[in-house]
Amino acid sequence: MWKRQKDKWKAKGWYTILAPKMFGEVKAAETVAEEPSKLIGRRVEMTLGDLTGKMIKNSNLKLSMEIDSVDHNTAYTKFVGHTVEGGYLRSLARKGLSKVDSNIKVVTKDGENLRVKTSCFTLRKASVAQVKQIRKVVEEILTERAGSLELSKYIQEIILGKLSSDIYKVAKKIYPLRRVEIAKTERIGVATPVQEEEVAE
Amino acid sequence: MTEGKWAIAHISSSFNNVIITITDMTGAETIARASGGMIAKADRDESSPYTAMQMAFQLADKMKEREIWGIHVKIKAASGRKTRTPAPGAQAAIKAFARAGLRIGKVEDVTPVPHDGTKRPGGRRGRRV
Repeated sequence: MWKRQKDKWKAKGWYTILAPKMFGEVKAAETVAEEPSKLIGRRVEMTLGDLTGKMIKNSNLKLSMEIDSVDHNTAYTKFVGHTVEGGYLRSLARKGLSKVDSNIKVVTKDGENLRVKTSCFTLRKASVAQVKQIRKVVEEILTERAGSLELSKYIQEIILGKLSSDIYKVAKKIYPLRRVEIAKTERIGVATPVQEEEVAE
Repeated sequence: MTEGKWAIAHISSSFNNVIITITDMTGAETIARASGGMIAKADRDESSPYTAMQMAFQLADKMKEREIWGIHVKIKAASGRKTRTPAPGAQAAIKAFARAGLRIGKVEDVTPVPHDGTKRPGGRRGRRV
């Protein structure tokens, strides 16, 4: 069995995977394949620290990108989502405080569908009414900002923490917050024309 | 991080066996793999740290041959209703990789954790032998 595998290996070539344009097309990883067509659909995960060359030190934030086109020995990717490490989020949660999760679907200015999941951590236990109000504020800010920004700008604001600090500023008036974290984004489906409303779900 | 090729070492370590699979960064292509039974003679030795070490050395040779310079590690424990902490084999394997001259990047625990799940066997009073 090993012998057959070895023969296969010789036929395979290495391809360089580049990060999406919004991250400056840095070299992200390398992959092997027999033929370029097999590359499409593969996903790579990277922390923000690796991608930006240690300009921003944040190893809690993981970006995932999917290969969508190949040219000679380089593969180009698109952004498909990000996650904040679960252990880090768990470290923020304490006993006796409220964690306000929300999960909403937004459409950016250029018609990209995104699912955005946020977690707000309060300082002490908030009442249900306050929790609901915080959730409403989060939803408002996220959808409003999405409507005025393109995908790449929107993602940038999420990653650099601008969006979460904006939410923090508003939501802390409702109840004192410890931290706001945008835990996850997922890109869903293909881009729809801009006029369409978010009735799909 | 651009000095050589990187790969991912997926280490699945239970108390009965250790399976190491080396893949490329996308996880789509397998570069090399080894399991406890390929080295240990007795079944009970399949999960021992020594076996894991031997496996790692074997894999390191293979990787050098295939121009891999460093690895990120993803450890998985038994999970489910069993233990969620990796068995001793995983630690030994990482150490051996480092000693074999490979760069170790990120080490991550990827044990799947159910949000609910079934009850552990043994009952209220524990397993009585």
